[in-house]
Amino acid sequence: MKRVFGLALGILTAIGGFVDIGDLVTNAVVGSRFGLSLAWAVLVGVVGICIFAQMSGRVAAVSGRATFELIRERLGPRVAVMNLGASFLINLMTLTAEIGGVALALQLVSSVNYLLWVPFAAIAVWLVIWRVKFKIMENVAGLVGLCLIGFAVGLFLLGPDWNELGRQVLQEVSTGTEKATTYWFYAVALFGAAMTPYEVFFFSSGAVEEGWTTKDLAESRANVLVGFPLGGLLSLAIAGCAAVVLLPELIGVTALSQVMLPVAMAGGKLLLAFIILGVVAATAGAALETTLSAGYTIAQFLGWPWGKFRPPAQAARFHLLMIICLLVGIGTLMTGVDPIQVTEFSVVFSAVALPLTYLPILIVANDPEYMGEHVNGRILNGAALVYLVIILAAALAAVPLMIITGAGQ
Amino acid sequence: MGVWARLAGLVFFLVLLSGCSQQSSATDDLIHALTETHSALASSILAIELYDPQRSTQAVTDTVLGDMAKQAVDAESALEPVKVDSEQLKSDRDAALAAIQSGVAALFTSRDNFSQRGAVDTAGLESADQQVNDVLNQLRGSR
Repeated sequence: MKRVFGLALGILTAIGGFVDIGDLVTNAVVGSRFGLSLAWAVLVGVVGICIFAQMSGRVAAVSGRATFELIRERLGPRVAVMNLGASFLINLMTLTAEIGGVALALQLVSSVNYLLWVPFAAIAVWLVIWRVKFKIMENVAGLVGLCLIGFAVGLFLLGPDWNELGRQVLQEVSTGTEKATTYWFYAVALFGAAMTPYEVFFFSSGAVEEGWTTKDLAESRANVLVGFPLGGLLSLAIAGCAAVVLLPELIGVTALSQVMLPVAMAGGKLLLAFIILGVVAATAGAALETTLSAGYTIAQFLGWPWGKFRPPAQAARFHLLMIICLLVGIGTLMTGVDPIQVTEFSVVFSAVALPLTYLPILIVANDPEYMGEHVNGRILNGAALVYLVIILAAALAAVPLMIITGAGQ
Repeated sequence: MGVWARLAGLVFFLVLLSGCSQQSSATDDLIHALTETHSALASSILAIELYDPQRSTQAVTDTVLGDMAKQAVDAESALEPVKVDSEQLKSDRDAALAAIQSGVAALFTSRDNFSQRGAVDTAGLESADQQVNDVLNQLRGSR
């Protein structure tokens, strides 16, 4: 019974923890401009993150070591430092976007300008990391994040023409002013939003934090293979709500507040309250994960003591690094830079940096020296190689598409 | 030369290539600014329509109106660098600017009225939106 409960909790946490500010914004923008015609990109991203997270979780459980320790050992310090630089910077950008997301969500509750919420949000993140146990932190954020199911409820309450939505999934829809390059830019952005590198750093380091062994592999696989696809359905529901209400009015989403309009139309204040709570939890959960990931990547690379399972005094540099990253995030947001733009850039650059972490994990997952009998099977390897090609194509196309389209303008 | 260096070179080349090929006409810029203004006006109208029957909260409505006023101001600023090299384009730019400025004025009035009185009439926003749509349709038709 305890095991079943643990499994259910893990799956629910994975669903609630799947959506972050990148998924929220990108799916709403795409829904309002292209309807559900980019649903395929969400599907491709979700399958990709399932393969990636499943491999990295297995590597961590079998070897007892996290991503960046293995990357440095397997690729050597010179290549690994380049990898670290890119991954760390993108993680920092995502962290900034998530803190901005928490602040924007709090503005929706209070009318108080988000800039005034930024320091409070960052301090709250630091306090939770400092004081709250890893398991409690992960579960609370994931479970409260489940309030985002309200988007799916909202979609049903809106009573859309399901045939029309189905038609949108199968063919390109636009307002008539969108270019093909913009469509492909957002396809890459959705892919990047679903496969943000921090998710994998957090997942594999979390496996070490929680002391996973090979006995936990089945549970980890269930969390990933059930939880993430259901989280992907939430992403589609966000796009669906925007497609039903905003697309016909030619309203393009540029602010988080606009994402709330279809929800209010569907379910009034009650649903709105659920969704805002879900947004706060999802962005705060992702802010915690990205802050920890910032500490994990550097500490693992440099061989410092790391992890929440150690008292802060025993991992002082790990904790100091996270405080510095939070301060950088606060400083960046205080310049007045739009958090939504930071989010859009972070998901695109996530796609650019993805091969740097995906390839080493794929190599290690096939190395019998590390994995013993738990190396990738043939089918998984086939799928992983197909994804390597997709990831490389997305990484190469991301920056040119961003320049050509003026970041999706 | 290593694989990584070659890859970096290829990416750099592609970036340069795509940067050089980026060209948007002045009319495209006008259409983009008008589209953004329409989006801001339509969002504000929807937010107020949802607030009136108490389907939305004051904080959400207030935030939408503030965000959309800022978006319209950004759209207006985006017109400043647009170069006009013909009489027709100058006339189009002036019409777009007038429509966007009326949108900005309507959005600020709505935002201020809402924060002071908690209620707004959407007539001013709708009228500004109509003006924006008229210019938008005219520009799209002339392309």
